[in-house]
Amino acid sequence: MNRRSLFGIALSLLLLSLTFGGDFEVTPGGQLTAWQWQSAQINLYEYARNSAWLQENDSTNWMIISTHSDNSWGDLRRFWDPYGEYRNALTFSGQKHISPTQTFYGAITYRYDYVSRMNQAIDIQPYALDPFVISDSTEGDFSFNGPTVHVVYGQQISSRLWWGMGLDYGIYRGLKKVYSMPEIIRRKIKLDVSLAYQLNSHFTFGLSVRPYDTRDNTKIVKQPDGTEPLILRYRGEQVFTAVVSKSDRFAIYNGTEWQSQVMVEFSRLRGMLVLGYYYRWTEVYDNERLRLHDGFYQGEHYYVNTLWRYALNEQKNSFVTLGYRFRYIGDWAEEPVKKWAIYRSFQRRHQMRLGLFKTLHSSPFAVYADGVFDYWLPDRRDYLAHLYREASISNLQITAGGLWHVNPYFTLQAGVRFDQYRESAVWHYFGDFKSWGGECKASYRYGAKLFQVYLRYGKEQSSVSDFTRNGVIFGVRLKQTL
Amino acid sequence: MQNTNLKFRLPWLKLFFLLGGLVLLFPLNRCARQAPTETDGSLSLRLIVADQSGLIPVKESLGYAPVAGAKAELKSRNYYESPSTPKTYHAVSDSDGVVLFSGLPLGEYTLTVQKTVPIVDPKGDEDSITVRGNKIVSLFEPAVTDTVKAKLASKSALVINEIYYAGPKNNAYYFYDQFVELYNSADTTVYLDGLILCRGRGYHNPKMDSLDYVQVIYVYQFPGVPKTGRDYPVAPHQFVVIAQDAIDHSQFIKTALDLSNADWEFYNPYYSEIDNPAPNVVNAIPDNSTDFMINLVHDFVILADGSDYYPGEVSEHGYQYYHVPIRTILDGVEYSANPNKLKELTNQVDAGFAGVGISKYSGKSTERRRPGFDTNNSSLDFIVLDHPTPGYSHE
Repeated sequence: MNRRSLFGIALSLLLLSLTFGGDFEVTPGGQLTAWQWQSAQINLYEYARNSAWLQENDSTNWMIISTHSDNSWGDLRRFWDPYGEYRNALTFSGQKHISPTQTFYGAITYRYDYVSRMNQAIDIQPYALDPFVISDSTEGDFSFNGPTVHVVYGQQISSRLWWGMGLDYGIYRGLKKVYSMPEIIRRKIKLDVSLAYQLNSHFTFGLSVRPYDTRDNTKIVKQPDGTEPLILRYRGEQVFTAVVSKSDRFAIYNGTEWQSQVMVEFSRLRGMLVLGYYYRWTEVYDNERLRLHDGFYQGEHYYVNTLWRYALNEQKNSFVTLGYRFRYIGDWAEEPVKKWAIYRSFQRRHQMRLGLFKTLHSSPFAVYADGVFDYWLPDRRDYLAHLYREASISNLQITAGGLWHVNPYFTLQAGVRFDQYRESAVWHYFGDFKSWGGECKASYRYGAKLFQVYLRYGKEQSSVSDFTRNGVIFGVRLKQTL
Repeated sequence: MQNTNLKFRLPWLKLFFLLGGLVLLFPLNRCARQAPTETDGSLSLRLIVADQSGLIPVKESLGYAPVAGAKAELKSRNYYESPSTPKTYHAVSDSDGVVLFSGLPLGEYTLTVQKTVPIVDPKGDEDSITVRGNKIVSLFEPAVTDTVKAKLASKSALVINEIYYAGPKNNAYYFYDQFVELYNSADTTVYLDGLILCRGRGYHNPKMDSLDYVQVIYVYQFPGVPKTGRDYPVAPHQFVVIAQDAIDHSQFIKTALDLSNADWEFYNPYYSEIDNPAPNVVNAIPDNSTDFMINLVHDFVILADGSDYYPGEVSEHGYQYYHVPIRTILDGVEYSANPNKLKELTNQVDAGFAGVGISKYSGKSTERRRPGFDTNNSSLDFIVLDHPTPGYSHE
């Protein structure tokens, strides 16, 4: 149970980091392997972040201190991307059942990231879906740091009904080390209000509403030589306005995510089905008082996520996992004067997953294999640059590995991973590449203490050039069950 | 306990499905905005190029003199392709003098049309004359039709080649090492006699493109008789530096320039200015009690033959403006740190900005990319120098 809980928390942190990042992007570096999905519980809390189900997710009280370091470097990158990314986090988290019907979870993460040789962009996410990118004309290093707080409260209010609230709050501050030396400050707050209703022992329904508000403030400062820097503000690809200015640039992203969930439980079968709608409105402007806009962006996402696991035996130590995700994104951006469209896109993203976890009979060994296929079909129309493109991007990831319970205290896990990324030549992102890597993990349990350390290595090799990218992820977790 | 749960079950169940229904209905009844129906980047401009020089006959069926085969350049004032290159579109006029541009983004543009017309001079020799038109065009409708009038392009071998106005790096507000550099781009000698250097009035006049003069507040004049004088020659490809004060400024501010070898000095006899050894370009307006000081971030300087200038209106602040007829102007350069500022010098003289990105007290200067390189668009003609080059070229 404890082990599963740990994976659950790891998954929560992963999801938290994804939500902090906002819209998903094409980011081949540092992809996690499939073991979280294999080992995590399939329930409302861990799969759909329904805070109401916190109470039922894990019956124990615990504290965890963990560190995580995700590093990648190389020339296989997109135009705006940095050469090196060195992202580090220290997290303190804990869970407490404060009464038989109430549970509280809290986590504080401090992130320290260093990004080297960022190409021109002075934007935290230049490849977010909106077309607005702020840049100067230099390549330079950034250092980012800041705390993130994530708290969840869940309460059972009747025998079949739960409710919960969650809050994410984070500040992330970055400073570019060279001209034009901007400072970027991101503040994000996201609420979650959720309900869960258990219809019977087989079906449980969930509802979640998640309003959020993110604000970026890019402070352009007068240079040490007294000059005001030349800042380029893109409105799509290749076309930008150029401003000699030391005034701040602001961006507000806000919206709401609505989600309904169904959890299915039978003796050998567990599954989740999630239907969601995500809305984002973005305003980009100068001068906080006058609001001199660069433009506006609206994004709407409709998605379906489902994951099913079938136990192959009564002991439930071997199972098959099947998952599917679909997301449709319809979005557009407009210029500020006449409110005419400068960009529009319609994107479909499919992800299929098939996994096997098999405990070898009467032995301390288990093997796992996982295949994930992503297929993304963007239809992007950049009206200013006159670029109209509709072509696919796909990624196939295959993971295989083994688990060895050396003794009741000590567990080793090791695996390999292979990726095949393909993109149509019209996109000019990465080009096709292959990636392979390995991972290992050791867990030591001593009484109520659990110590884990993991290391992953991966290398991406372009199929169309000599460019490569290397990645190393490592981390340590210490858990104390109370 | 069980009874209590039963009591709660039904209302909660109703509430649950009510909320569930709302969630499912939300995408159908959401607060999302409608996508724009018009798309940017699809505007068109139909431009009629009509000659006003008299070189091209009026076509009666059209009612104007069409400039056929004129090269038109439409330069965005909002968008750029590289930090120093505005997004630019090119087209050529048809036989009716009509130029069509399409696929344009919303915004303001600087339009330049130009055509070289072959002529035969009175001796029977073949020669050519250039007609040119400039205009600011605002495109905020899907299809816009406009007219540009092409006139004889003034052409001078003597140009303003470099302007250093920002002042040296310092914390003492010192900027008295400003200078203007002229260059003779011809293979023959030209003369400075009676020429005037003027400073702009300092703000945007919305009607300036329709005027036949430029409003200025300073007029400083070389000695000699305008147009006919031959006392102050400039040899072919020679530079001429006119300093605000022709002294070694580095004695006061370490980063300032040594202009003690300047060819000329601006001198105002109407206030207690020290007259340094360099010959003087003298203030011609007795009411002006300042030296030839130009703005540190945005201003313009014009060079005219000095044959005509006259008092114009008086500003609300009591400034006496002077008018310099455009036909007498040999060259004019407007500079601005911010390329999005409103123009202060008419496009008839200069269609762009020099010095983009230069802030005050930066020690930077702006100079033509090659000595004498002149298209009457300073955005194209000028580059930024980290260090001024008085009397020589950066090349």
